Amino acid sequence: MKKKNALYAAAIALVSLLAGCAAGGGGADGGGETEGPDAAGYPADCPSIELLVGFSAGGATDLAFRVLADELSTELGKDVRVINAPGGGGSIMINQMLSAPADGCTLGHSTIPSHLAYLYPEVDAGYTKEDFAFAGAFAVGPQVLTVAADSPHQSLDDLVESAGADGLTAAADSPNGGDAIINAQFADALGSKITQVIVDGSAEKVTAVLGGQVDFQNGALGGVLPSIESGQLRALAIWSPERSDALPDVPTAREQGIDVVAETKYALMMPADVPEDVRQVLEETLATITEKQSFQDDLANLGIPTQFQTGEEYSTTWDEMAETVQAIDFDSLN
Amino acid sequence: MDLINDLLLGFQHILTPTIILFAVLGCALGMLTGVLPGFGPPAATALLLPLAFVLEPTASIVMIAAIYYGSMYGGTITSVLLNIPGEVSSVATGIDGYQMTRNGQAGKALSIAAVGSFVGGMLAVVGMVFASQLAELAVNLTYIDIFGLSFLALMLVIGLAGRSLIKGLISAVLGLLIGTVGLDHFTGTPRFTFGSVELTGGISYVAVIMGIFGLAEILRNLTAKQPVDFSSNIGSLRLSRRDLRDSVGSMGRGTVIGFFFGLVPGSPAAASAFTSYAVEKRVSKTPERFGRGAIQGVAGPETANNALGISNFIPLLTLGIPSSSTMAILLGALLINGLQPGPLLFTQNPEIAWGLIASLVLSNVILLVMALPLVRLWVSVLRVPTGILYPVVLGVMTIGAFAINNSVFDVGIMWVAGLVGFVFHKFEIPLAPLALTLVLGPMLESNLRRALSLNADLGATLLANPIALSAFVLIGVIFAVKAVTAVRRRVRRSGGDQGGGIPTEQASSKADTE
Repeated sequence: MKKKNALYAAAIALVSLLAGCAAGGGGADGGGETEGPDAAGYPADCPSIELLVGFSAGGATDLAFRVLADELSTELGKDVRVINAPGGGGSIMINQMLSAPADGCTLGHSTIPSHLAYLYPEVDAGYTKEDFAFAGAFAVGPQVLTVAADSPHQSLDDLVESAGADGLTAAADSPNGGDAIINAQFADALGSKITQVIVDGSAEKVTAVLGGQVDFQNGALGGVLPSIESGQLRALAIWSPERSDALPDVPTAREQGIDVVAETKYALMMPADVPEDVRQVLEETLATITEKQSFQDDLANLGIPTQFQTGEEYSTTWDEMAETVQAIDFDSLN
Repeated sequence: MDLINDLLLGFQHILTPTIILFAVLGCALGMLTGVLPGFGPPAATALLLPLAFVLEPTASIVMIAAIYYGSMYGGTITSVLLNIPGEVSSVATGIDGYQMTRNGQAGKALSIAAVGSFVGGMLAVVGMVFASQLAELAVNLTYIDIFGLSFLALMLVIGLAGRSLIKGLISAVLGLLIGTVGLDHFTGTPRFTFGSVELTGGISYVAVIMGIFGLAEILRNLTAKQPVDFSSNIGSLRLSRRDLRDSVGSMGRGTVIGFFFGLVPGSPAAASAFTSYAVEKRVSKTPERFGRGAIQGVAGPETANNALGISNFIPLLTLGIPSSSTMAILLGALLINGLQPGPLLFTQNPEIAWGLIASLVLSNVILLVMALPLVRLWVSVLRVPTGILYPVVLGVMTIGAFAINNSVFDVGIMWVAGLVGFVFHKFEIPLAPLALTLVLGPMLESNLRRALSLNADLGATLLANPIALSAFVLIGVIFAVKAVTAVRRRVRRSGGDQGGGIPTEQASSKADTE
C-alpha cells in the first residue's frame, strides 16, 4: 500500500501545484518576456508590475491594454501583467487599485468617459479624480453609429427623418456610460427622443441591430469594423472630430449637422500617492511606445489609433469631458 | 461538393504535428481546468491569451477552442464523482451522475458522459457546417421571444422540485432573489448591496454553485453519522449495450437542445443542461428513477453541453459575434493576429476558418480517446481517503473561487452558500431549482425589461411575436394539465374512500412522482 500512497501524494501535489500556478498567475501574463535592455530603470522595487483592467478578458479594452502591457514589459525590462477585475462599471478595479500599496507596482487602466460614472449622484463611488495620478494617454477609440445593412437609412439624415413621434431606439451597454452620453447629446441635438435598450456588452448591441430590435447602436470602431467590412452593418456616422482612415467614406456627425463629438480615451493611471518619479518614467515610456510602429500596428488591428497625451493633458481632457457629462440629463433616455 | 472541399482544406491545415500537439494540450488543459472547481474556460483561456501574441494564429485558436471544449467534460468528472461541479453546466449532470457513483456505477457515468460528449459534439459540427442560416434565425429572436423561452425553461423548475412543490419554490425564489443583487442593469441603481463595493458586482453564481453543491456536500459528509466511502464500491467501468441503448434517445434530444441553446445570444450553458435533464425526466417511462441514478440523466445534459459548446462557435464564425466570454477571448485572439472574425474569415482566410471547424472534430476525437481510458484513473480518486481528498478539494475550490474575480469576497460567498446548501439538505429542500433560477433570473428580467422599453404594451408585443406567444401558450397548457391532474387526484381520493377519509397510499404516491 505504500506505493499507492506515494502515488496519491504525488497526484495531490501535482494538482495543488497546478492550481497554485494557475491562480497564482492571478489573471494573465501580459507577455512577460523581460527582453530588452534594462534601460528605463524603473524607480520602484517591484518583482513585477500589475496592470489592473476593469473589463473582462478578450474585450476590446482588455486587448488594447494587453498590447500596452506587452510593450511596457519590453521597455521597462519588468514583467507587466494584466489582471482582470471586472464589474461595477470599473469601480471594482478602481477600488482594488486604490487599496494596493502606492509603490508603483500596481497600475490601473483608465478609460473615459466610462470612468466618469463616479460623477453621478446615485453612484456611491467612494473616490474622486484626486485619488488618481495619470501617466498619460496612449490611444483614442473612435465611436461609430451603425445600422443594419438591410436598413433603408443611408445617412444620418435618413435616420433622423425616420424618427417620427416616438423618436429612435438604440442599443446601449449601460444606462449612463459612453453610449448613453452620446445618445443623450444626440437626442438633444435632434430635439427628439432616443429610447435606449440596455444589453450586455458590445456583441449584444450588434445582435440587437442585426435582428432589427433597435434602430441603431454606437460602437467602438474596432469592434464593428469586421461587421462593416463583411457587409452586415452600415456605418452612418463617426463621432470623432475627423474622419477615420479605417473608414474614409464615413462622414463625421459634425459634417452631417449634428454637433456632437465623442471618443474614448485610453490611458494609464495609478494611485495619487505613487512617487512622482515613477509616474514620470511611465509617462516617458508611454511617449516612446506610442511612437513605435509595432505598437501602432497592433492597436490598428483592434481599430484603435494611437495618440499620446501627457498626464497633464489627459487630466485636462478628463475635466472637459466631466463638464459635458455633468450637464447631461440621462432621464431623457428613459 | 464545395463544403467537403473546404473541410478537407481545413483538415489539411491543422493535421500537422505542431497543431495536433496544441490540440491535445488544449484538451488536456481544458479537462484539467474543468476539473478544478471555479476555474473554468474563461479563466483558463484568459491565462493563455498572451500566447496568442506569440504563436501563429491557427495554433493559438485551435488551443483555445480545445480548452473550451475539454473543460466541458472536465467539469463533469468532479460533479459525478464528488458532487462538486467543476463547471456551472455540470450541475445538471451531477444530479444523477453522483447518484450513479453512490450506486457503484461511477465508471459508467463517466463513460456515458464521454460518449455523449462525443456524439453531441460530432452531430453539432455537422449542424454547424450547414449553419449560417441558423445563426441568422437566432439573431432575429426578439427580447420577448427570449423571455418566453426562458420562462418556459423556468417551468422546468416544477419538474426538478421533487416531492414537495413548496420546497422547490422556496429554492427557486431564493435563486431569483440572489440574482437581483448588484447594480440594476437598466438604471444603475444598487440593489441589495448594503453599501458594499463588492456586492455591486452582483453575487457570482459560480461561487454560489460551488458552495451549495460542492462545499455543502463536503460539509454533509463530514457531519454524517456514516461517513460516505465509495472505495469499496467502484463497480464496473464498462458500458453495456443496454446502457448505450437506453441513452441513445437522450443523446439525440440533448444534441438538439444544446445546439439551439448555443445559438441564442446570451443564453447560459447551464440552462441548456438543465433543460435537457428536465426533458429527459419528462419523456422517460421511468421518471422515478431520476434523482436516483438514471443514466439518461447523465447522457442528456452531457450531450447538450458539448453540442452547445460547438454551436457557440457559430455566431462567432458566421456573424463575428461572440456568444460567451470564452468566445470573446477567442475573438480577441483572432483580432490580435489581424484576422477578421465573421464571414470575412471564410473569404480571406478560409484555411483558418475551416481549420477551426476541423479542429473541433479533432478535439472531439482526442477527447474521446483521452477520456475513456482515463475513466479508470478518475474513478480511483474515490479510493483516496476522504481525510486527504477533502482538504485538497477544499483548497482547490478556495483558489477557484478566488480566481473568479481575483477577490477574496467570492470565497466568502462560497462559504455562505455552502452553509445555505447544508441547511437546505437538512430540511430536504432541493437545490437544483436554485441553481436554475440563479442562472435564468437575470436573463428573464433583462429580456422582459428590454422588450418593455421598446413597447410598454406587453399584450401587443406578445401578439406580434409568435415564438413568445407559443411559449406562453405552452406554459398555459402545462399549468392546465397540472391543475386538471391535481383536481382529478383529489376527486379520486375522495371518491376512493368509503367514508374513512384516509387517502389511499397508492394514489398519493403515484401523483408525487409527476
